[in-house]
Amino acid sequence: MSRAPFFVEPHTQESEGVDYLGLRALNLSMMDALLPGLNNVVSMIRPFTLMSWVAWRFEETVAGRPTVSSKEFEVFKQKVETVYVMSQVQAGHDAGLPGRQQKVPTTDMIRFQFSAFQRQGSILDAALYGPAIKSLSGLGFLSASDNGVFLKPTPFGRELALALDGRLREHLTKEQYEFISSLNAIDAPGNLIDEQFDRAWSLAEVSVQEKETFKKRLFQPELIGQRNPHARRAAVLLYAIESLRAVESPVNEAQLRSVMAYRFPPTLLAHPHAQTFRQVQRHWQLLQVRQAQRLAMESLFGWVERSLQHTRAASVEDLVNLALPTLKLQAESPMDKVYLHQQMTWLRGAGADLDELFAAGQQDPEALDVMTLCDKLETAVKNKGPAPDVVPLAIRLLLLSARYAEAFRDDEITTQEVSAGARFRLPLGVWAEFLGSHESHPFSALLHKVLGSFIVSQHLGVAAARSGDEKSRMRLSIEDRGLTSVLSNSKRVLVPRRTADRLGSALALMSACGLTQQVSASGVQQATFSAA
Amino acid sequence: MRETSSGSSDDDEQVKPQPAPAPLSVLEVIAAGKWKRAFFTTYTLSLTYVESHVLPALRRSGCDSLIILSDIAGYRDSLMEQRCQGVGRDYSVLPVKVSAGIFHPKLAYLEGALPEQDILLVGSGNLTYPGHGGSIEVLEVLRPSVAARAFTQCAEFLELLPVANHVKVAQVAAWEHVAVRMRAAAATGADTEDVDFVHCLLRSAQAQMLDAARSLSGHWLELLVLSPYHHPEARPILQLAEQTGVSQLIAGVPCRSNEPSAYPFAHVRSHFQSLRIMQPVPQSKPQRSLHAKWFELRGEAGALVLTGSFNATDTSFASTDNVEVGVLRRLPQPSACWAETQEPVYQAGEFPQRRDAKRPCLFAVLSEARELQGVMLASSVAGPWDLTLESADEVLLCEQVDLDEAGRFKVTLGQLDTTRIGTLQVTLQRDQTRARGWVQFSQVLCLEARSRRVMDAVFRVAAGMQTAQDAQALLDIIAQESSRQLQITGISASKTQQDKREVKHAEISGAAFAALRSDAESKRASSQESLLHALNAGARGLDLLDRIMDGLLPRLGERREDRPNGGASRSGGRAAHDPFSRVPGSDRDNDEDEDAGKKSKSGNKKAEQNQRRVADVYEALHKRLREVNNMLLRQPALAAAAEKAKLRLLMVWLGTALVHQVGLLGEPDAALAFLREVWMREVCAVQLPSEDKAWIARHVCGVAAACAHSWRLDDVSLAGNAGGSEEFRQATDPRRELRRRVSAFYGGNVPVDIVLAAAQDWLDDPRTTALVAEQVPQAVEALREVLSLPTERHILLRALDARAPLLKQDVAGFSSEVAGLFRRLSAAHLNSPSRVSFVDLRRMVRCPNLRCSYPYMTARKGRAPELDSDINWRLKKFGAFQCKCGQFLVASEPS
Repeated sequence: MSRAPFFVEPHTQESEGVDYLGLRALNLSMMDALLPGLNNVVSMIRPFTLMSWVAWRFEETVAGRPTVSSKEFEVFKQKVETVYVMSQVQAGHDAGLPGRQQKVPTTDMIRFQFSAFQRQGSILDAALYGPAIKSLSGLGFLSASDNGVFLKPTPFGRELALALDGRLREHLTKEQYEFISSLNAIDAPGNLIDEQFDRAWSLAEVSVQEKETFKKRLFQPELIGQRNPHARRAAVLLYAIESLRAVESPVNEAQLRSVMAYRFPPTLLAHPHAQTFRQVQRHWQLLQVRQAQRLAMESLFGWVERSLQHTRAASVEDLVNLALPTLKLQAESPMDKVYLHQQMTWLRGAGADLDELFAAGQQDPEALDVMTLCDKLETAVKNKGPAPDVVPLAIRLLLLSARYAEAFRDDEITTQEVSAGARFRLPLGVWAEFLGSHESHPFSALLHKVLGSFIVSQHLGVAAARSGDEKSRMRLSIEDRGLTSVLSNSKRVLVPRRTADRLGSALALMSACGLTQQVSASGVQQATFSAA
Repeated sequence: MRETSSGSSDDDEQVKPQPAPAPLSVLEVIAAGKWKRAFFTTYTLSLTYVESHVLPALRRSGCDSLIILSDIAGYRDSLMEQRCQGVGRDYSVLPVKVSAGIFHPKLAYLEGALPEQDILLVGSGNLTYPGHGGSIEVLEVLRPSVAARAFTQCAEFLELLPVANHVKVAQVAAWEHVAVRMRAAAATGADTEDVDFVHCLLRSAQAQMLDAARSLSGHWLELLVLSPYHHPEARPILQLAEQTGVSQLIAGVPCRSNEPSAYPFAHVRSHFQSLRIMQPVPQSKPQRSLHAKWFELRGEAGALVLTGSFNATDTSFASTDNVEVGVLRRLPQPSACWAETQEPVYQAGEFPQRRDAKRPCLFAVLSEARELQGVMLASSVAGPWDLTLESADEVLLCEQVDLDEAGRFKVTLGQLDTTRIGTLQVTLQRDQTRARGWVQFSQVLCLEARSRRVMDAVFRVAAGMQTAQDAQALLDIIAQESSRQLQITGISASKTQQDKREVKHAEISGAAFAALRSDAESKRASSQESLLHALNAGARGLDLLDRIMDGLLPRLGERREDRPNGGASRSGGRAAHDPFSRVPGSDRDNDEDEDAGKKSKSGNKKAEQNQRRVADVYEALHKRLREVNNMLLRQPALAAAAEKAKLRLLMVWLGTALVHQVGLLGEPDAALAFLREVWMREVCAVQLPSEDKAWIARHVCGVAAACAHSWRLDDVSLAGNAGGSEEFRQATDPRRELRRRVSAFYGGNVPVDIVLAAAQDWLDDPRTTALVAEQVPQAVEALREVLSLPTERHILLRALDARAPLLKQDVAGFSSEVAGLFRRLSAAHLNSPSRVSFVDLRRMVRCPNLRCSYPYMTARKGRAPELDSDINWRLKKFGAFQCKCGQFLVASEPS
């Protein structure tokens, strides 16, 4: 214990995390309903093939043994992954490849394990290809073994594995193949990993057989109309394919997202499951509006952080007083008292139902299109100061999303879906309900409640609830002056963006297996696509 | 400047061979010990910080109780943290109002197992993220073994606090034990260090520091003052400097570059031409804003250092208006944690005055009798006020109450289910005056920490806000209580006295429950309130599990559309089958709604039906468990024999109930993964008496169908793909393993029709149907296919019976090792039948080839010899084994 006073040591970790208001889970569950089995990372076929081969090779080798340890599987997997990445980096085919930052040891004899390559993550990690490759969560190439200690290939995984195995046997020398196939050998001279490996398993090129097998799992149109994940994914992919077919020229990911929301592909009108595609469209629209609502909320949170850092604001009242002038409002003024009611009345006049609202959005995108407004808001929040247009844009999006929520509530497909989820995650329906109950209140009072309850209190509650891993999620606190930001500098202020909705990775995978065509070769976001 | 505890006289620390580095923050101090109770005082308060950092650290250290006294400013600010989950339920926050100033002390008292292990922390940091290290703060960590006097002085402070005229503090009874404990700690210690605990309830800090300075011999030469806030003319500093006769002043300034200082350099220079500028030197990360307060007189006799909450303002340092505390320490040498620096920019900075300082606030307690009693901490107007009781999401009560002359009010909450709401705030409003406060749940706060966690976990799970910790807490208590239940029921008459106490405890808890259940009021109370009563009554074992599940399941059975304000029930829409809907069972419910006009009524009916359905499910499961336990009570010998297996099974069963009915309802994939990968393996591996199998069989059948269905979905396209598909399926088909497990569960003879009917029944249940994406007939069909699959053993036996060689295609899908074994065996059976022996696993002790000496039996310590596990495993799994001597063994079909 101290024999003198001392200065307290700082906290070991700064605030971290991504979902400061706890709203993301709803968006993810909506994406999961639409494009199950994918995430925003999976964009190439080869990692699926490679990991299927790992599991198949392992199972073949250990079959018949009474006991198998998970360590053996891990050692084998690490060897194959380090060899694979090394061969692809050597060939310059490593763009987007998980683990490409691994450091190749400079010794003549190399131990092909993550520790020697100073590497942490595996292709099978939860944030990478792990969920997508597995049976229950993804496309179903691997499943847990009966004893749970390693992954084993499903029949499709085995098919993928055999396709790759054929290429390995064709291109590798006997010594190379024996090394890569062995469960025990993990040390090899560096020069054993030469260009033959790239020829066998290049990231840039997958065989027709691999493509076909992969396509069979990614896209199963015969299931459309059923309730299982493969059926849902197939319906959305077909909807995307037909949307691409319906446009005259190739479109990029953002354009396709918009097309899918606005235009029902005419070729699907006569489809036996036309109703399913109507549901796809509605759920897709609902997702876009939810994305807008979350972006608006997080933008307000980022604005609060900036305001606490750059101004003397130290309370919710101060924040309301900062925000009102940007909306050209004055607290307790006549306009303040009628603003919300006027805005909602105008929005209700813009369209009586969802179809009319979306049509109005196309005609007047600056006022009524959630995607256009999201684009503008994402630009505004990049401003380093508390930009004056963030609050007006965020508020406009929030009011607009409430109006859309009303229309979704009146639509037979989305009537329940719009309110699905825990109330504290503020589903669209709950947000519309809240706004409706405050429509007769002055806007300043509403803003006070929004900033106080849905931004500040919401963040603090989420931060408190996520304390289990000893990492701090706190970005706001209270000190002598009042509310304060605990961020060490303004560079760490939240600059929110919409969470990617998996459309990009779906397009990449569809193009990789020939379901669609990537017309321009740049990255997924910039690339344009057309129907195959 | 600091030393580790190796030189301490504390016995505990002397026995440590390698003393750990001394803790350098409040959290590190908490983490370094084992604490029973904690008590904090603060000016500002961040409940988020408390719940995300302090409370978890305290829990890890074993701490069961946390009480926080906060100034009404901090208390009022904390009200914006509406989503905090523990205030008033897991810990207490009590507001303190100081009429002429503020309640500003920052101390923490951590009670160890014994008074001499207690620790008193006094510093400058509030109970906030910045206050515990986000800013530059100062801290003193005191132990009674070396600073006993300070403990006594702190006890005096806490005793004086509630009787001071200018202080109004809530619930004194809740924390008066702290002073008693401090005195007990002081009585165990000594004063090897010259340390005083200083407060300003009676005299200002300035006066006390001056007294201390005068009591020491020698001249004072320098005065160092570090403070984030200063009197604009440095009056308290100059007064102290004058009266102590120092010739040199040292301005302590922030160490963060570009941070201005409120030290009035110009005014001080007008009195003392020589002014040194120094900044603190923390061990790391100096780029933090300054909040530490440090007064240090340096002279011939050493140094006199005052740290704590005192700012260099008149109110804080030179008056008794505020409530402040600090530690006054005499040091042989001046402190050395300073470095000369440049004079920063001056910016006047008095302590910030809060605009809402005069705004009243409330404190309220919800008693056992559901009476909400509160008090307004401000001068208040007696008469009627509008009371609102609300949670983070909803207003629960609006009622008029009468405030008496002392600012007190009370209201009975009647049927309101307050235990399912989480934290609550109460508001009183009259005209433009509005006062708000937290509600303390006295019945919850008096529970032990584990019970409070269970209460909160049940609440959060039911509210859809569960965290990983909640799931863990529930699984922990299920595991503990299941284990306890089995231990209690398995006790024989000859057990020890301690065991008898356990039995008695169980009897008491059962009796308490009987009383609870017959109580009419309790019957009307919600299920979670029953849990609260159960926890308060000390319920254990099955009774407690019963209440927990009772609290969880009915609420989960509610559908959103049945709730008030749920969007769907008000709409007239009728959704068709929608595979993208995340709302369970929405289409089914809508199909039942023939008339939108009757929606509300039918919605209520549906809610009742649904509640009953869920309750039925639970009741059925629970009844079975009761039967098993009754049987165990009747036949203790059987209990002893089956204890291990039953314990394992009980865990799995309860875990399953939790996972698939509660925690992962929204994730059928994950639930199925658990059932498929863990549950089936465990359940089918446990050797159960046939009477026990009966109650688990229904679940085995249902889960088996769900597994079969999931694999069928994986294969769905492949089914139409001829060619190599069968080979793939044979090679890796997990369905064979499933078939083997079901077969093992039924002892070899699977009653297919009964199994399929049971599967259908189980999957038809609304809790389980999501596991097969509502495709119950397809799942049952998939199970039928699985059960018709021949096992490897069947294929082998068929070939042996037919006395025909096994062809390559017969074993095409088998692993190469098994395929090779079967083909060799088949050939031997045809060409050299003596090399093939049919064996009964239960009787086999050696190789049938009498010339073979290979050991088949292995003996483990204290146990009878058993058949070698490898041989046993191969014969059970594949039905065949080749001995080292070359003899082939074929396992006879199980009877």
